[in-house]
Amino acid sequence: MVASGDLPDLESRLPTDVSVVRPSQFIGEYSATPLKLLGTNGGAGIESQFTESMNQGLFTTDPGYSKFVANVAKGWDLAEDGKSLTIYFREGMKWSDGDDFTANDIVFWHKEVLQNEDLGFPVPERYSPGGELMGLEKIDDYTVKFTFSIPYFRSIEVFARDEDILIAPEHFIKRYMPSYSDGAEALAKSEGYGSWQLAVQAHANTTAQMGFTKDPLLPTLNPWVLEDISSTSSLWVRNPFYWRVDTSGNQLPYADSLLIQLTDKRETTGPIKTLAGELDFTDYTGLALTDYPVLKAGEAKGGYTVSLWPRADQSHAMGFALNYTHSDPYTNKIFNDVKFRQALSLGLDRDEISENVFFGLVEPYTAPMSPLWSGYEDWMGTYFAEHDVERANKLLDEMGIAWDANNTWRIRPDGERIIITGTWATEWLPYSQDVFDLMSLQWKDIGIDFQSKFVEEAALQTLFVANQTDVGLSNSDGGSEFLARGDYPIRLMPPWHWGDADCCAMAAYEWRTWLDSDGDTGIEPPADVKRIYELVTLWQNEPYGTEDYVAYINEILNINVKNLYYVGTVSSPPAVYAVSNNLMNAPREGVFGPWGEVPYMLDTWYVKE
Amino acid sequence: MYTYIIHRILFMIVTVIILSILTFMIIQLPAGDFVTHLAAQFARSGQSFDQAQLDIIREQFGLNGTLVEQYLAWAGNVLQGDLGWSFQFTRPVSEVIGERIGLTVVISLSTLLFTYLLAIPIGVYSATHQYSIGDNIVMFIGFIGLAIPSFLLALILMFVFLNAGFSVGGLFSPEYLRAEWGPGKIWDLMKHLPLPIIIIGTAGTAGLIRVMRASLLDEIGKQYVITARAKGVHETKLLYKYPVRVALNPIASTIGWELPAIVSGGIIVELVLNLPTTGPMLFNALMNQDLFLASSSLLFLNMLTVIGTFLSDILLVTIDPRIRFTEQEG
Repeated sequence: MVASGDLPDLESRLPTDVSVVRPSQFIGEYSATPLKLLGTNGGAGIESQFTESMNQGLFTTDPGYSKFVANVAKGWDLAEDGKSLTIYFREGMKWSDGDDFTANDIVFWHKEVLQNEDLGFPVPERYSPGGELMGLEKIDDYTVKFTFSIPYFRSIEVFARDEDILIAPEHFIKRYMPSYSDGAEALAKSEGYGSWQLAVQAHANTTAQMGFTKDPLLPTLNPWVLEDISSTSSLWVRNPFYWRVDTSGNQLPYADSLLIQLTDKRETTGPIKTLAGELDFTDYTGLALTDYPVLKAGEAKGGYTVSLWPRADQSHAMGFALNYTHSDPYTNKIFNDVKFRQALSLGLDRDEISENVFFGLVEPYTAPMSPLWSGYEDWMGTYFAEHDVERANKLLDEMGIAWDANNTWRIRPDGERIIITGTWATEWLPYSQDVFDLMSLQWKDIGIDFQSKFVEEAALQTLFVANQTDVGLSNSDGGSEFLARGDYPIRLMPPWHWGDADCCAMAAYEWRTWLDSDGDTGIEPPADVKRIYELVTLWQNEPYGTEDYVAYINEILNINVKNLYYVGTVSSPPAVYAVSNNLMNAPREGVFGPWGEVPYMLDTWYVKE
Repeated sequence: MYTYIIHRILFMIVTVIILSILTFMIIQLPAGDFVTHLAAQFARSGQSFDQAQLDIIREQFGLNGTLVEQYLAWAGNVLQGDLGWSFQFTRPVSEVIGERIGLTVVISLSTLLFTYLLAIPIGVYSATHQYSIGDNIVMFIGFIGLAIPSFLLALILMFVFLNAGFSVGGLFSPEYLRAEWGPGKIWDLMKHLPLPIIIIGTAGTAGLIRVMRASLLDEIGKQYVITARAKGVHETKLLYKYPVRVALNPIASTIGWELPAIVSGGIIVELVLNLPTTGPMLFNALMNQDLFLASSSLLFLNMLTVIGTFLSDILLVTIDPRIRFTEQEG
């Protein structure tokens, strides 16, 4: 293509300060064989783990997750007072259509997309630290400076993952905006969108509402560009302007294309296609721990290697938080007594859960964060983790909770049996039912009737928000320190889940309402919870790793663990990976990232024939 | 007869309208909507929305009005040939359905053909050889076919086929997924078809054998058969010209139901087998409250059911001379 003049030569396609990476195994060779991956068709547009891993952020982490390193941005300077962040871009870097990527694209995004009221999207909280929109200054074509009204030390964490900033190429998005282009409205209509706003959103994903790019037209900075998508597959082809080379100076990616096979049901398609050797790489999104024995047995035949990766992003497989703002006064009273939570925790036989559901691969673990956190102390992980029915019963007796006439169940003062209903969404983790069944059996020994009830996901959210659940159950997504600091410590403050209005409250939603409204609405929480709320803000605004930082987070963890607000069962099961033996440079072992993703360096992968 | 047909068509239109209102309402019955789903899904992957964002997304998607307003807007668009927007696929509904309908019809028609070609001859054989060893063997296999849930059969057969070196799951091998249609791709499709056809068809075949056998047994002993035999009509001709024709009645009267089934397919089996058909699409649309995709597919299914019922009524008249239209007097 270069020879025919369709494409400028390599020199002018690469930025002058090009990004250089060392592939994990080999300096590769260019390969016409597509990388065969699995994606999901259904759901709200989330296509696959790989489109997420492929999307390039401003910064990324090193393979050991120890620090942030340059990525799209070549460097950054966080001001000493934390009130500004200067980001340096690569000179001569280009979008996948060959247009220059410069500071102007960031300015355009900040002014015309982020703040554009006609577009109808409010500014996400992360861009308004301290309640005031962050400012942006263009220093020169390759340097921008974000300014904040308060010290914003976690801006690196916030911006590293941010996908919004880099998906609004000025030259491309302008054509959908009436303020720049007269034909904007007509263009939107001709592409099948109801309005120019919808067209901008569909092309530029202005908020994350549609997940990942499904737009073959949109210029990107990713190693591959979407060529075509159908119900059965999507094909991504090499970005000729990709800005990264290997240590020998070869432009990446090695593989000409990605073929993502789309399925409507990845739980069965993942293992079947892996066994048949029809996928080069499958991760936990397509494989469950229960598939592991079958996959292991099929290794030789399918030509792949299956491995288990510990998860650094999660602390446990399943945990629960009681609804501390339960509308029934008696239930509310016992839930808010720490002895009740202690008894529930002691009543669980965590070894039995590990053996029966997770092949004995997990350990008893109660803390709502992983041991990798700053401020973690050794006792926290196994606080009240032992199985001690006698002590549990003693605690419940001390609380004055009586047995019924047959000594089978504990009863309320009005004589009714105490029943805790665990509501759970059918769409969620496949192993949950097994864990709940064991919890049910085990709590029978302390006279507590735990019943699991499965409902549809959206219905569950409605129940949560309406304060109509007894207990919130969850595995510990987003339990990493990075993520918690950058975004929100999901398991450490009420409602011990996302705290947003329309979504996902888990327990004690009314406490959170009270805290967020300064006491105007909701139910007043105890002093410990108020203290957590204060500490979280202090901790998030403190530079990482300082003495204060560790002290704040240590206190947050201490309050949480001692109160057993969120009780874990067993540690998180490892993630299952299957990697084709012909796939070079892909990791065969590792730790699943604290970000909820892994720096796979997908651009260095290739299939060796 | 023509007045009858016109009457029926008018009734069909009214039925479809009522059904479309009902399905639209029922789809909306569960708490929350697609935007709630979106928020929940993103929450799981670590991103959160605030209320104002959700409201704006609802407005953009046309999910903000009352139920009646939403229905009228959608119905108006459908009349103009616009089936609406699929939220989860971020594409027009007509494209999403169009892409899957071809392969769905291929699978369903071949399954139907497989079922009839296998079930009717076996049914006739069983009836004419009642209680013979052959009949018993066929019935034994038939009952097993009826009793095994087809998704279980799918899992077992997939494992068997896999170990025998076949490509299973989906309808194409990875290398043909993106290929243009040609002999290679068609051959690849043919290699993938037997598994879904056998799995989806087994239960239906087993059921149909029973139906065919029972209704033929009813007929064989009747007077007109004995009379024909007494007149010296050849056994084969006698069998196929009269009792088999009558025995096909129950099958003909249910052909109408097959029409929507051809499109909706065996949802669970198709999910398990990863077939790019409309069944899993409808399932996911309903699960995710992808309102317009679900409503439009169900509208389509409703129309097929109504048309199918009409067709089987007409078919019955042609097969069975005893059935005639009767003018209703007064």
